[in-house]
Amino acid sequence: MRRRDFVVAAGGALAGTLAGQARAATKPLVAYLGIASRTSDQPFVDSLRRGLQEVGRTPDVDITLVDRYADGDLARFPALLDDVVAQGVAVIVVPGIAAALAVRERAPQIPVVAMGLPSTVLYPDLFQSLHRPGGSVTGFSPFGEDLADKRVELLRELVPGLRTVAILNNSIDPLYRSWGEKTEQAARAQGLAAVRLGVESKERAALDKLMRAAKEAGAEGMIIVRDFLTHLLQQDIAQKALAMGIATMAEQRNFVEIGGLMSYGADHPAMFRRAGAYVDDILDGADPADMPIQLATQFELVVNRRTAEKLDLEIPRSILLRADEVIE
Amino acid sequence: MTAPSAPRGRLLRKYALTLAALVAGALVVSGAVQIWFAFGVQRDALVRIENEKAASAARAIEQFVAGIEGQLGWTSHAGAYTGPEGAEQQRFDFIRLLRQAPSITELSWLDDDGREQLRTSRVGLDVVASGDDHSAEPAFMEARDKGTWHGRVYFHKESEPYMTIALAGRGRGGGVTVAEVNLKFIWDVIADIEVGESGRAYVVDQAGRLIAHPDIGLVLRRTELIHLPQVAAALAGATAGAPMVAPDPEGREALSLFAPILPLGWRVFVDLPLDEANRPLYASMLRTVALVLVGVLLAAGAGLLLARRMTGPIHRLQAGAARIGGGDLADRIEIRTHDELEVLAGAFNDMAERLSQSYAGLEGQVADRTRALEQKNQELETLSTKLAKYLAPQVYDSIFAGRQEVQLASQRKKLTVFFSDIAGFTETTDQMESEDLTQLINHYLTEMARVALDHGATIDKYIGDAIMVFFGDPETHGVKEDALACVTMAIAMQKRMQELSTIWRDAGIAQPLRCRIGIHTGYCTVGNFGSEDRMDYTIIGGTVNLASRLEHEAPPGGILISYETYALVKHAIHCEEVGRLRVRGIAQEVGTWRVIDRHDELVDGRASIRAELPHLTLDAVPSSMSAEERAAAASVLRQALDALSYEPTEVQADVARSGDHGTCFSDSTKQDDGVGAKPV
Repeated sequence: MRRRDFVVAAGGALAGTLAGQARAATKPLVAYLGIASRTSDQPFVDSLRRGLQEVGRTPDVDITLVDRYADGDLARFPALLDDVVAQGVAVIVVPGIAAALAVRERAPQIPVVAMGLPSTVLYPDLFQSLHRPGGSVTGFSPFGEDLADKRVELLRELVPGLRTVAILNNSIDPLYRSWGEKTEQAARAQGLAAVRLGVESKERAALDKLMRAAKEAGAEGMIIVRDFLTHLLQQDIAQKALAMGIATMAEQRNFVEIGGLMSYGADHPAMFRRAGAYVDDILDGADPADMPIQLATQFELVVNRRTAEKLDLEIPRSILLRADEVIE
Repeated sequence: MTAPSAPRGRLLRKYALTLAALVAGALVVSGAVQIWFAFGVQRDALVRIENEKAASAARAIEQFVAGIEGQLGWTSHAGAYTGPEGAEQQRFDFIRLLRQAPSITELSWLDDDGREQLRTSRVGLDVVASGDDHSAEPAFMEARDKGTWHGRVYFHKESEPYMTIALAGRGRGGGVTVAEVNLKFIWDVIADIEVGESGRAYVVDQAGRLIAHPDIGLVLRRTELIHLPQVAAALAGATAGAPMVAPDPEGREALSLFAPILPLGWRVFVDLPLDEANRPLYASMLRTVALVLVGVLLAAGAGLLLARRMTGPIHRLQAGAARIGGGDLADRIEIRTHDELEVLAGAFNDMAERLSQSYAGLEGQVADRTRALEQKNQELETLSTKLAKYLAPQVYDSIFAGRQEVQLASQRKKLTVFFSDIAGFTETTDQMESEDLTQLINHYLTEMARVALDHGATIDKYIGDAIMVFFGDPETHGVKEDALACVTMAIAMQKRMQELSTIWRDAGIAQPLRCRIGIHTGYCTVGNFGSEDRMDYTIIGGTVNLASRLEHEAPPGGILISYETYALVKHAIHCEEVGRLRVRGIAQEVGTWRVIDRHDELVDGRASIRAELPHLTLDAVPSSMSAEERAAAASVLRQALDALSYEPTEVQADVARSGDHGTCFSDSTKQDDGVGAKPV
């Protein structure tokens, strides 16, 4: 009996070892490539890691997951991409459109799971339709631009007597500029004066200049269009706006957690978690061309009560009812 | 052992194969039946489980929709929101509802006239009292008429499945609450349903479009499933819960069934790929096949073993039967199988036993028969010995030795023929009792026959007291020797007669018996004469007649021989010519001789003196006497002479004569004649 147990145990151990080695030999490489920084993207990568774990692709066990960041410098991105492609990357996960376009352009053969895709076909090269992307890119759309009206509305509700709103957006990328313009239109449609501020670099000095410009324009509120630059600079934006007494409205809750006033948008970490399933499908051989781009179904409204108090704002009932979370 | 060795082992193979085939057949059949039933049972169980899953999924979706309706009802329950405050309250309630029901993307309230009074949205702007007219829309009309309305599924941005649910408020002013529901939330319900490992539950609307599927991508791609046979059948009104084998949305052959979601007209399908559905069946089949294989092997082994146990005794029986058949009747077949084979072996052993017994009986019978045969042989021998008395020993011997055929054959041969008879026999024996006569004649014939046989004579026959004898057949020593033997025999006979007459006188026969003998040598025909039934070995011819005639002519106590015989014996026998005798049938007279004695006997003639006279008996053997005896004898005789001296001299002369001539038969007869003629 003992001997048999031993043999079984030894056999099992051997088989396990062999299987482990075999898997190690073919462990697929998944890369997260962000244009922003490690710090700003950390929550996303963590969520992705969790999502992969949930579908049985535990990083470092079943797959290799690497994350690389361009630290806000789009020019550095191709080098990162070339590096992981050279390593034989199987799937690339990117947090936004700019990165997705960069991969699409440089390595069209590599499947991409992208977050923050537009909900309409702005770039036919990226995908042809939500339900059948038709290319190497699939992923999730946070409905970002579609929520412009809603953000303006919510900001108006929270900031009584709001007359002028500043709109901060990446001005290098035409996509983000157009989103900025859309938000501007929404603000105007709701009877507000709008000032659009284009971020061109990750330089703080430039940001300071923009923030001062907003203040000078008499903006009581500011809507931040999310892109890698604004995302990278979110900490400074939140602090400076608060210092200037400007109420801020962003897309992602992360911004509120670090001192922003409020955010309304899709639950990005949740999307990143779900991205794990898409990575899994692609590793199983699914074609991104056939994988529908999923629209965000849940939007969360997060409000920072302390920031509101610092701004001497009272959170109205309608906002409290609607808010998914009020950070105290 | 040789002939049956060719098919040896066939029985073994036959039995083993038959057994193996039987068991294997039984196993295969039972396995097939088992698989068949297992298939049915397992399929039923699967269908039952799938039905339960489908039903529970249908219930979950119904509850999902019912939950939304309930919440919509709760907002309209508040009744008419009147005034600006009412409108504000209604908005708050709607916002709260959006919070509580994540699947609702947009809510609007239409007043009793179908005009929109409030709209809240997760995406778009909230609108109060837009007054847009929706009174012609089915959502308003249907809900107003029936209380609740479920719109068709539509796809937002061509991807997301949505449905409109409209609910009429209570009473006047209740209006209609319209909700846009994101159906992706059904995904949670569907994804939670586990159908085996690879099975799927999915929801299809009344148009055959996929509304919910664990693979959300299929839904977002707006997959049309109307082409699937099970969906087509379900939409055509097939019975819910009935299983069907059809390809699932991913193209795998699956066991499919559905449950209806009644209020919506949707159907929940549960598909289990056949691979998985039949896996236990395949496993069971594999097990059965393995069992059948093992069973067949075992059966073959058992068949071999059993057949060996059966054929072993049979081979022993065969070997035993061969040994018994080969004659070894003592052999017994040892089989202890406690079955028919043992009985058969017993029967074989019985047979061997009986055979050996009957063999022994046969041998006994043979011995008995042999004994009986020997007895018969002895009887025959005795018989032939008795018969021999009636035949001449030579004839007897030659017949019984097979030298002479007993047949009517004859040959001509030169023989010496002897005749004798007793002179005056009839007169002598006339007064005798037949017993005495028989005894006398038998004694006489026996004595004569003994002498005859001693001399090698062939005794032809006895005719009363007469004897006929011949020499020269069947055995001959030559004519001369035969004749000499015959004459010698005749002399011996006469001498024996003298001795016998003493015996007979003592026995009471006063008259001494004297025999006459005649001998002749000549050609005879010798052979078997007679009829087919009765034959005599004898001789015929003139020689016989002449011998008989000589016998008649011979004086009593004398021997008369023919010239032919005399010529043959004269060298050894002293004879006196008697004279010529005329014999009837013979032209010339026959010369006859009287036999005196053998020459050698004549030399010792004075050795003894014997005389038997009336009133005188003398028996003296001077040669054997001592001197004293001679003196005494002489003295007796002198006395006798003295006593006889006063008688006439005649007597003296006689005595003197006998003394001159020695013992002579003819003398005696002369004396007899003299005595007879002159009284003493």
